[in-house]
Order: sequence, then structure tokens, then C-alpha cells
Amino acid sequence: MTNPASLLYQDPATLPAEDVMKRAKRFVKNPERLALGRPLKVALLSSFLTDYLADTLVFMLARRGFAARLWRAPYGAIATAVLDQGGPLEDFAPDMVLLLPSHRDLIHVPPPGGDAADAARAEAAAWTMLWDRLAVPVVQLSFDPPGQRPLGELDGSVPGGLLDHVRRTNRLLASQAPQQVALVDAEWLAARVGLERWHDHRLYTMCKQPFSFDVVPVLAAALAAAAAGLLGLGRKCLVLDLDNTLWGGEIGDLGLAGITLGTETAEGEAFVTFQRYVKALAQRGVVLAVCSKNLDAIARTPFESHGGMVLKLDDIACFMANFDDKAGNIRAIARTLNLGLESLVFCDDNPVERAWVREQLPEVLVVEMPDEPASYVRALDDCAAFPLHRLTEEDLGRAKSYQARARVAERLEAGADMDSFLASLNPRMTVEPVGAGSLDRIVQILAKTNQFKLNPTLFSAEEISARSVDVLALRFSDRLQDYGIVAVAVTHVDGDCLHIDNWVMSCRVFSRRLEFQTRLLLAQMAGARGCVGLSLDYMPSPKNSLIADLLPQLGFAPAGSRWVAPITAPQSMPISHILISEA
Amino acid sequence: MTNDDILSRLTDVFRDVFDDEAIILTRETTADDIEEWDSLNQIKLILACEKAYGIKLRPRDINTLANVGEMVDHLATIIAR
Repeated sequence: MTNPASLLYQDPATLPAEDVMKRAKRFVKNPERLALGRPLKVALLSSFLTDYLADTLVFMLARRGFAARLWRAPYGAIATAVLDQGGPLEDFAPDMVLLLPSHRDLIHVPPPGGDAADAARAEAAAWTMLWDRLAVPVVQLSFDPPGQRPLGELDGSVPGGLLDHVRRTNRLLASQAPQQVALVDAEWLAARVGLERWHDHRLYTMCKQPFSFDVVPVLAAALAAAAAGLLGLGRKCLVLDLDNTLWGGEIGDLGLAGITLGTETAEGEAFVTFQRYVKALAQRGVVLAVCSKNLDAIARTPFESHGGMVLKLDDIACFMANFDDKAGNIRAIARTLNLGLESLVFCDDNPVERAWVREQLPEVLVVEMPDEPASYVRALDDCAAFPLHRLTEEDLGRAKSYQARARVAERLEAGADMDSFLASLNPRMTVEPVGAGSLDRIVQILAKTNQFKLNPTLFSAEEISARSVDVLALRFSDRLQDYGIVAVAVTHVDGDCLHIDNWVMSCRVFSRRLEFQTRLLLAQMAGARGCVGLSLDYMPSPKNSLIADLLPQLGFAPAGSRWVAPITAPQSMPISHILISEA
Repeated sequence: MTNDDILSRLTDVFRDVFDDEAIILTRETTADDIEEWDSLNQIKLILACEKAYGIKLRPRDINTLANVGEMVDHLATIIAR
């Protein structure tokens, strides 16, 4: 069975739209393929016709790992569909709602010279109200730029211009979007495909689809990427080949002076540009790894001493240079960083290596690298493999923490005595109060974690705020770095037990014994509330099987549909060596 | 371009739009003969014809045609212009 992620490697914008739509239609007709991936009920509410978009949307969602079931409201009825209590949208009970308005829906455009800020506030308020009502994750297309400008060059910059109103409203919506809402930037999408294609006035009069067919794959891909980012299916790590990917030529044959890299030559500049882009990804939290067929010491020399290199060894969390098979090396990278293969993206100029990795590791996204190095950035950027809808402190510190993790993994494999090694890292844990500074991250880690997670229960930011005293959020640091908030448990008192509704922990801190220390803190919480035990609901999934092995170690035993434990932890539980400090 | 040439190319257009290589058009074929020939696919057909013959069509002219034969004749007059 073909993995949906591998169905289409090329960016949809570079393929004829008819071909993509045809493939999508065939895909949707095949129920077996449709059943692959994480089930997702999607409601699509739009102010224009989406009949041509629907199949391609389902197809693009499948490429992102979702088995989507789509329900569509009649177009032009976004607000009514949302506000209709007991109506068909409620019956459908979507897991996610897609909102696709257009600039035609803007109703508060001020007169020339009017109060533009006030108008934008009124416009945004209608949509934030809908987000509140929906109370499920929302992906919304922002307002698109209109195709005409009655105010000419001033249309985008003075009160009364429709383009000015579009821009102001979009900015405001973006700043007001809560954790569960992701916006897709229509201004950028329209610029990318060109306004000539974004607006198809003839098609709009014929069937109320406002854009040309060329837009369908691009829009569907952007919506699916945003959904993946919002629901935690974005990828996390970029694995890079070296020769002819980061620089021109073979370092092993040509040596430091012989490789093509640097702004002095056209080709050398292309590689610099690609490295700058990769560096920018790293700075926003994408983890970098190297997978190259080279001698390790030689592969490292450009990083250490070539003036044209933008990337440094410090940027690389895991460096694999040897002559082994690349699929095996990529597996080892995933193991070292404790990431699933579905979190990886692989860039290699060599089509044979790409084909091999695709065949061996269909979960890995293998970028279809063009022959021309100057187009590398576009190829990687077009994949939108690392969708981001919120930039948290953890995103910014993630690359560092994976580097630290790789170092810890190396030393653990070197066979050091575990207890003294862990203690030597000076691990510290802080109970983090739920508040403005931590709320986004708490909701994010609950949504994004897949491996260390008891069950699929999700929590909105509102619910976490309301239950803040019963939420245990833990920050972890050691002498290598501060990992941020890496573990969260949401609890409530149920009879004489403290019930753990859900408990998640970031895979970056696995094997640091945080789970044991967290268990002790939960027991303290239980004791303070007069409880005599702990209980939880564990629902096994293909990803969270490690919980099954862990629960008995924490003293939990099955009791009916639940798992329960006495407050006192088992004698056999390992000592964590983690120091607890107050926030 | 003869009417036979137009019909032959139109068959390719239909096969492409409906993603069905088994489609065989005659002058007598109507929308009832092709299961997925609805108003949405009609629009796709119009746009695909414009591309295939390098012409511009008026949707309301096409929508009044009774069968493929009339469509071929209509295309012939537009192409001849």
C-alpha cells in the first residue's frame, strides 16, 4: 500500500493543476487509500463554490497524514452554519473547521478618510466570535487582496482603500488568533500564484469559484499544511546530504579549496543561499542533521574551516558521515534524536539516494531536489514541511535541546554509569504556574505530543486557564540547557482519587527519568487534596505503547477501564536525581 | 479542421475531463449518456475546449446545445471565424 505522503513529491504549484486534480479525484474514489492516516472530520465553510476544491483538499490532507472525511455547508453561509444550534454542522461534530471567506465578505470597509482602525476591529470581531462558537481547531484563509483598486496606488495605504482594509483586518485577525486557530496567508498565496490567476472573474460569474483552476492545488496544499501544523503533524527535522547539496563538488576528491561555495561565483552563491535558508529554519526550531557518504573527519572540515559556510557544526544536532546505506543512517538519526521517521525531511541532490530512501523509508518526506542549485530553496520551501502556526520559546530553543539530547545519547551509548551520569547533568525541575507566559506552550505540548501521552483527550486554552490549579506544568533544565516546559498533567479530584485526565511529556527529555519525578509530584498533589490514590485512563495507540511498559513501574495496575495506583510510589522506582525548585 | 477532426479532438477533451479512456463520442451523444456530465463538469468542458482549440466560448451558447453534434458544429463556426 502506498503511503499517502509519498504520492506526490513535487510541489503542487509546479505541476499542471488538471493533473493534480485528476490524481486527487482518483485518490478519493479509492476507499482503501482514503482510510490511511489519522481520521479527521473536516467541515468546510466558504463564501464561494468549493466543489472543485473538495477532492484536492482531501488528497492534500492525506499527504499530510490525515484520513479526512469532508462535510461542506452550502457556500455563502459561513456565519449561519456556525450559529445554527442543533444544525447540520453540530450533527457532523467536526474535529476541525476550515473557514474560507474572501474580500467580498468584508462589510465594514470605511469611507475614504474614515476610521480604518475601528473598521478593522469591527470586521475582526465577527470572526473571533465565530472562532469562540466553534470551540474546535480552525484553519481560516485570511482575506485575499482584491483584483482592482479604485483608489489606485493609495488603495493599500489609506483609510477607505479596500486593500488597506484587507491588510489591517488580516493583521488584526493574526494578532487575535487563539491557540486553536491557524490562519493561511491569502495575501502571500495570491502573490505567489499571481493576481491574474488568483482572480478569475469569468469563472466566478459562471459558478461562483472566484479563482482559476491553477489555484486549486496551491490553496488545498496550503490549507492542509496549516492543518498539519495546527494538529501536530508537522515535521521536525531536516536531514541534509553534503556534497552537491550544501556545496558544489565532492569534498573527499576536491578538498577544502576545490569545492564550490561562496558568493564569489554564481554557483557558489546558490549554495550559500540554500544554507542561509536552512539556517533560518534552524533558528525557528527545525532540527538539522547530516547524512553523507564521506569520511567523518573530511566531511566536517568545511564546517570547521571554509569561509563560505553559513552552517556550523553547532547547528547540526546529529552528524552521520560514513559509507553505510543512507536509509540505515537516517534510521539511526531518528533513533538518536528520538524522533519518528514521519518527523523527518531528507534533502539530497542524488536521485538514486532519494529513490532508495523513498522506497526504504516511505514515512520520510524526500524533497524532489531540482538539478539547478539556485532552485533548492524554492523546492524545500514549497514543501511547507515544517508548518508553524505559533512561535513559542520552545520552538526557538528546540535545536539546542536536540543537540544536547544527541550528546546525552552518545554518552549513554558509551556505557557510562547511568545514575552518576544523570546526576552529573544537574537536572532541575520547576513547577510552572499556568498563566500568560505558559498557556500557549501547555496547550501546544498537550496537542502535539504523540508518544508519551495517555489518551487523545485535548484541552482548549480556556479549559486549561479555568482548571489552572489542577494542571501540573513542569519546566526542565540541566547544565547543558533549559528545555522549557516539557511535561504537563491535567487532573481533577474524582472520589478519593486524583484522576489524571491526560499526561504528556516531550520526547526530547525521554530517558531523563522525569516521569518518575512527575509521579512523585502528582502524589503530592493528591495528598494535598485529601486523596488516597491516583487514577488515569490509558488508551493504547500505535504511538504511545511506551506508556504500557511504564505504568507498572510507576505503581499503576489496571482496575476496570482505568489504571489506579496508591499514593506511595513503588520501592523499585528509580531515583531521578532531579532537583525540584519553586518557580 | 474538418468536423471529423473536431469530433476526434473533442473525444480527447472528454476523456481527459472525465478521466475515462473508454468514452466514445458520436454526434448523437448527450449529457444523459455520460454519468458525470453535470453543470460543474460542463464548465470544465468549456474551459478545456477553449484550451484545446485555442478559442474563446460563451457559456450560454454552449448550454443551449442539444448534443455533441451541435457542439461540433458550433465549435466549427467559432474556429472558422
